[in-house]
Amino acid sequence: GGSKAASLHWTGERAVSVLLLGLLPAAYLCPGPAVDYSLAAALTLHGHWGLGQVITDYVHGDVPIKVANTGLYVLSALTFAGLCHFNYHDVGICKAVAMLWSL
Amino acid sequence: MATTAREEMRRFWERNERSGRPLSPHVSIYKWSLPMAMSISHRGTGVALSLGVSLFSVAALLLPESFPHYLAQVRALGLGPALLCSAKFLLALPFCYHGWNGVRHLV
Repeated sequence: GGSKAASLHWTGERAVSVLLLGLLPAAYLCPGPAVDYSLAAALTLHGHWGLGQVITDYVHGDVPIKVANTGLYVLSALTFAGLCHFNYHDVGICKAVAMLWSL
Repeated sequence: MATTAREEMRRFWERNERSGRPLSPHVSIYKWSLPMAMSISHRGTGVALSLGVSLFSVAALLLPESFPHYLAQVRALGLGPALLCSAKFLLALPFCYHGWNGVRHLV
């Protein structure tokens, strides 16, 4: 038989998508640190996997693929770090969106 | 030993690229359909949203002041309601499109 890795990845992608969707009403109804950090994680992972698919589709050649995926890892790590930093030192994602929309 | 499959593939691509043959038009001539357009829009909005989130994150790490500070600066610009509304629309549009189309993909 083969490896189940790809199939599990696919399922993981759908699971994170559903989780992220659920976090949106949660952000509206119960804003706070729990939702803020969950959003940071789900948003980063969903984006990381999504951009990963784009790379898989359009980047060809062993070295370009490796370079692109490494760059993606760096971007995602920075994104997660930045969001957590924002949640900790600033108003947090939920509050920020509420404040922005009240402009 | 005969050549491996990997080696044969590599030779094929090498010869193919060396011959410099043009690529037939595909995207430019194929008749656009709604599913095609929706699919690439889903991808486009996804990439744009992702890059937006990453930009926000990096800004959060690099900029010295807090979010309320910068928001107050924007408020002080005194932009008209029409401009603010358009800006919100432009932010909300890719978000809602990607979200709802995403639900369509999930069900």
